[in-house]
Amino acid sequence: MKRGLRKGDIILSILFVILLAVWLYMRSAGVGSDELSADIIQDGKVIRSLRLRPGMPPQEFTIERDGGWNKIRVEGEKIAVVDANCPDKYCVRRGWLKEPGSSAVCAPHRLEIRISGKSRVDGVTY
Amino acid sequence: MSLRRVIVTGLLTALALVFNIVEGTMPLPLPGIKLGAANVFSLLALVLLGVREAFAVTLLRVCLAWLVTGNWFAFLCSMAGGLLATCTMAILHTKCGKDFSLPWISAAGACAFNAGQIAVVAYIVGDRRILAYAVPLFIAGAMAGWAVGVLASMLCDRVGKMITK
Repeated sequence: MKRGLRKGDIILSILFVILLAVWLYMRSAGVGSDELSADIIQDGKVIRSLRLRPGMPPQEFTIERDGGWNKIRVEGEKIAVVDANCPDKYCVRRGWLKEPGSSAVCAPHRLEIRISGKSRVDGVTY
Repeated sequence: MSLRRVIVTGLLTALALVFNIVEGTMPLPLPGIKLGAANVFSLLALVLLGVREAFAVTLLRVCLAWLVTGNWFAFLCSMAGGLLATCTMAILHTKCGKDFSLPWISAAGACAFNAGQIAVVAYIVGDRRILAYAVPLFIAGAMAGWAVGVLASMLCDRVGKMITK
């Protein structure tokens, strides 16, 4: 088999570098919001929306759907799924969500938790 | 299909299943991101045997993993991802095999896998904004896929002649 980089390899690696740049840009644009809220979405609809403010007392609640449940905990400006009875528990392993645009998904229960908020870039006015 | 091909396809499928299950027990840095070592054997099947065998190894591995783990959600994701990834790698390998080396074919396949996976998640949950998560997923997929491809090309060099003869 031929060794070394070939034409297609170089094209692909350039594409990945562009993708990496896009991702870094997305991250830097999303950080630093001043007002956060968390949407709890089930079956594509927002079923609950919570304000995330520092210093709020922690609260815990459970979302149920057809025998499947997810226990959600809110502490100040962060939110997490702390327990669930889905098979893979990706939502629990996702841990705390803090930044706008980040989300935890529990596909078996068709549940999504997403943090939305004004990013500082959108909020600048002159 | 000669007996030798059937045996080798079965062997590669069995190895892929073992790697798939072992990998499933390991912790994930981020949801949906893993090495995908089982893909080494799909790649080996593609290079040493052919397109049909690559599809056989991938689809059988996904179905068997479902039987073992019983996780239908992971099954849907892997099925969509596996089909897309094998199509991508088969096209790149057979049509433009001169322009792409194995690690990069594998990286492209990993991204195709991630695309299928994230599309299924977005469809099931019903929120299209999840698709934005594809960007970090593609970057991780490219790196993991490349590493898996390097492994596969090393294996091709070492055991390739023994298998195909």
